[in-house]
Amino acid sequence: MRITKFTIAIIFISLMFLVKLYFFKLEPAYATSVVGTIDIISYSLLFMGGIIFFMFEKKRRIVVPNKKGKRDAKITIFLFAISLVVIIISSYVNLSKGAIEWDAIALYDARAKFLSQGMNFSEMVSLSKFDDKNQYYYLLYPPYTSIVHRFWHEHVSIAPISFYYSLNLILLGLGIFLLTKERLGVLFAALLMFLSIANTNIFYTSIIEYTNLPFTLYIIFGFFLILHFIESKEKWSLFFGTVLIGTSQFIRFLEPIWIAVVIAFFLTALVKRKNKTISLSIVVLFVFCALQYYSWQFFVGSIADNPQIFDFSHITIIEGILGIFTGGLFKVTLYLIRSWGLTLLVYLVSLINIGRRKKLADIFAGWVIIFSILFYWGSLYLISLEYDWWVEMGESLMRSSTYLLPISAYLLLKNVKIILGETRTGLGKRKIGFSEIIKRAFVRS
Amino acid sequence: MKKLKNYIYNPFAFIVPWMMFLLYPLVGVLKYNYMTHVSSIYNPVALLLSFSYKVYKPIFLLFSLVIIVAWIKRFIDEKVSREHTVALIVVALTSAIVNFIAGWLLDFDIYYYPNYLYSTYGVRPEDLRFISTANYIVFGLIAGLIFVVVSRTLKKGIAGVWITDINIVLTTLGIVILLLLSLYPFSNIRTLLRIPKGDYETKIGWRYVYIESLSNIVPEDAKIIHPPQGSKWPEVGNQPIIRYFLFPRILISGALINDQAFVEEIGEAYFPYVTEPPWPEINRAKKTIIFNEEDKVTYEELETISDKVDIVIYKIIFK
Repeated sequence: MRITKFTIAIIFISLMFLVKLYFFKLEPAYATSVVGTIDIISYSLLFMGGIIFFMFEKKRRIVVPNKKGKRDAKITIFLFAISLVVIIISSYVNLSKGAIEWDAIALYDARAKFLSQGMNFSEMVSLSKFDDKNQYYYLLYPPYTSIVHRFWHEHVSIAPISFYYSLNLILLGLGIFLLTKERLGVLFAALLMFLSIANTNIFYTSIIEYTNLPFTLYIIFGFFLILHFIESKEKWSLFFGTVLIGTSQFIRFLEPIWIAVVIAFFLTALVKRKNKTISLSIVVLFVFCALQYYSWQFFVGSIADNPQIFDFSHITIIEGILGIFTGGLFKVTLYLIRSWGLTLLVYLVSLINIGRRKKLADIFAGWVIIFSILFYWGSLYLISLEYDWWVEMGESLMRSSTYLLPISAYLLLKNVKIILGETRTGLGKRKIGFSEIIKRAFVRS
Repeated sequence: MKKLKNYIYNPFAFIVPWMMFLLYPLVGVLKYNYMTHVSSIYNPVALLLSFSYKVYKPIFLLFSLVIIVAWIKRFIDEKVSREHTVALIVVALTSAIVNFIAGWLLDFDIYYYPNYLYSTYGVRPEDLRFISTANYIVFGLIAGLIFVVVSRTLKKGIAGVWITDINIVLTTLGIVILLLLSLYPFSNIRTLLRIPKGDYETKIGWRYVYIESLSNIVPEDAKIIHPPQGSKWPEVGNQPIIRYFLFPRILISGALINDQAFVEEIGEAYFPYVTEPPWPEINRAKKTIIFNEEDKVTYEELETISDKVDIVIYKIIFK
């Protein structure tokens, strides 16, 4: 179990490390700056620290609440089979495409093309010198996706770049299954995998060549590793989770989700405030994530001298407060409800009973959902005060928040397990399997 | 009363009205085909068909919903028999098949032309959409029933209490919504498999020909002036989009060309003559040109270069 989590984490951490090294090679001014040096040293320390802790730390056992039955195995196989169908549909769509999406043409693939012709990221700013509308555009998104696109175009000839996104969907499904099967059991982990990859919004991000799916992948894997740390206190899991959450900003920068994760972690830690490990871990998580945030800000502002897309002033804050009374906040709230639709209901109902949960990990997951929703709400409100185009952000909002779906589904399935009386904290006194419950419910005695 | 109860709890009591409801668009087809072949709409059969079409839907839908609600109420306290389980499976499967067919038919209007379905077969798209929505509601109710029964089985000692347990109700709601949201790849499979397989020409649209010509004609170290970005020229005016095809040429948005000093700094450049809507505004007699829809600038030479019929690319020399 432990080795599977470690393997998944190390694959993604190594991939990001390689991308970062490539970026350092491209941008010597950044690589030799103090910020750049701290960036790569802190990354290496957590990377190495994670490996050392994994090798020498004593493994903490967590309760595995599962029992197996023939019918459970059959349902699990069925869930894997329909998940495979979802993957096949995504792959078919991507493999038969003749052209990629607009933003992918204009940004991710375009930057990959510029890179292959010898241009680096800081030079790309000059391309928009004679563009009145998109001066900030080329550095609006961090480099990860374009570096991957460049590598793919040059070294992977058997499939178009679109297939990379189906690959991400496969990895997301497998990762979710492997990272949760210890806590949820094989059957429910397989169900979580299916509910995640077949979900309208997540599936949609697998057939467009945008940053959303790789971003979701890093956030979700980082989240489940931190969850594992909260339950097991295994430090490698904290280190790797921190790296994944922090470096997700190298994929998408517009939504600093790490802030929601840090606040959630801080509030969870308050419950056990005398625990030294937990207190220190907040420092590790916060410092690394903040450093990743600052390093890209530093690169964009000081090295590349890129114009900012958002420009908020003190007046914005005053307008914001006034907007609460004049109905502005209400308008944004309604818009958010309409854009998220049923998905918002899933996020909210997954919080049910969270206050009564005994497990810190579940409380952490609940806080992540709460602060993410508050974050999107607040950001959208602030943007609405300054920019008219905020009403066009609905689809983008949906895509960028897809990481909340597996977290909400995880909490809901844990709740189902509690209801079914399968866990230690469950309501039922006698532990019975899922197949037994179905049998008892539907077959006449 | 007892007879009514016996009828309601009969496994076929749900299947029959539900199947009748699913056939509702066919009544519309019958009505359409009859109406198009009779001279007067006051014909008694036509009137009967019109009336049937109006009352058919609410009657069978209401009937089906009353029965399923009654079933849910009953099965809170009692086990679901094998016959009822089979009835529910039949209803769920039939609804899924009907939804698939409805989706397939709805695609006809997109594939051929709007109103194709009604004008050719007499099938109203809104009827198909209504049936699909009703199917989702019934799916939800069946899923809810299954979960209720499972929960009740576990809490045998406190049977009937479940309805007051908000935790169970909301968790069920969450799982049902998640399951519904997971149907997307399956319910939209036809649309997904038909996602345009064309190349960039298909993706960008007919104005792609300008980008293609510029890419073929203009030297890589030259400058290109393009239309201002906006709804008039969404693709050829979007600098990041066209740069993908035209890199490493220097691109200049026409919106920025507002004074003579600036164009003289440019020296010479290329631009496409876009026909719909026309851009830029050229006055050959006075040797002036408007790139930003407002300000005139003068030029020295204007040379036409083309590699395709109807596509004009100009080389302009300002100084």
